[in-house]
Amino acid sequence: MERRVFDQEYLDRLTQGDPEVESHFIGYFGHLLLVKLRFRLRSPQLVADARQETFLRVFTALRRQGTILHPERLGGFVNSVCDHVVLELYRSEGRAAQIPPNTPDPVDEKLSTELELITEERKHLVKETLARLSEADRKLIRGVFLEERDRGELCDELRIERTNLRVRLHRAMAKFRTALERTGPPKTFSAGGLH
Amino acid sequence: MDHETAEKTGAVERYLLGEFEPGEQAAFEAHFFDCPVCAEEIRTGVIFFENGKAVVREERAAAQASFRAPEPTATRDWFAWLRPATLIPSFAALALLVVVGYQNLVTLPALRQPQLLSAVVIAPMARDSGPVVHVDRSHPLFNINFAVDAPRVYPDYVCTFTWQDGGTTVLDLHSGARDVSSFTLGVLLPGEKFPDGRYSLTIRPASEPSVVVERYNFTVQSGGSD
Repeated sequence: MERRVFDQEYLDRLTQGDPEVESHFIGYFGHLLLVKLRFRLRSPQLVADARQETFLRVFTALRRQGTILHPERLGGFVNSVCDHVVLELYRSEGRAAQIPPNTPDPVDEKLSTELELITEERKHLVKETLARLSEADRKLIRGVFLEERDRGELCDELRIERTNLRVRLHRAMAKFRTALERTGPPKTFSAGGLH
Repeated sequence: MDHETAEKTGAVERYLLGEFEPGEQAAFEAHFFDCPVCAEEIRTGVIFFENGKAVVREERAAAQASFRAPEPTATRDWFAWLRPATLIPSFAALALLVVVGYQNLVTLPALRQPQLLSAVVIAPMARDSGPVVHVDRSHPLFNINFAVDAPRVYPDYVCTFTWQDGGTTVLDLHSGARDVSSFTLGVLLPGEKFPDGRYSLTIRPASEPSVVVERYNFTVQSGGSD
């Protein structure tokens, strides 16, 4: 994702509906919102709704002159709007009828959200990255992050300290990032999904 | 949280690993929404995870597909039935089919057919080959009558049919209970045991096998009724 400085010019162009800046804004924050919301909301539908609602409120606020006094804090503003949306969702969900105890679990629609992030090219890059790791790192990354095995158990098996897990993950992600950067500019999000 | 702290504490990895306390998580989110470096690392990390999981899912699906039992081949082995496991029961079934078929189509219809009994009675002590009995081979049984005149009453007699040429016993049968000494013994004999030729019948009391009551000669000849 192209790095842009959030300054007054960016803010003005965004407020005026500049397509290029709007596209960047939605792509950049769309992704971050998705990551954040997935930690907080279980339903993919709620994640999508919350993201849409966040963008809607941010754009509404931008068009009211004087709402954002510090353009460099645009990210913080988006984050706080998202927090409010999530809290409102929690409240509205809480007011909704309680689910009876024996109701079957809803169908897991998690994949539909993840599909935004998955492409054949990226899968190929993951394979490439894993192939370049040491065998121990590869086993660790696959086991913990991809196969979701018990971390403590796997660290014991590979004789790796638990704290070392983050270091190895950092290394693997750095390699992946390098590979990803080689592939050129990433695709961007719209408020509704990936373009 | 500032960027330096985030870097020092490995915040990106901890966030992706879900190792933050709720307060820390909110603080880091507030940071990476403003920090393009951390935002990029988060973005890359999530892309790495989600695509990696997709790769693992595909590998598992491929592995499961490769472990499936092979589909039966469309080609047919025309000689498979020649194996003993198939051949022996097949022939047994075929033989049974032939026997049952013959009985149903030939033997049983013949037995169900009405048949006139012979009125000819063969007298004992014939010195020559005796009278000719014409046997209709389309019937499984043929009828012969013998005039018996015993010196006294015996309750039961054993009738022994033999070939005149060689004296081989063809058939033994009991006459059944008799309360008179003179009577006509009518018998139905199986045609298959009596091919064309000369035969003798010896009648003995069942209680005294050494005593010969009567002896008869007759000739069996295929064709028509006599």
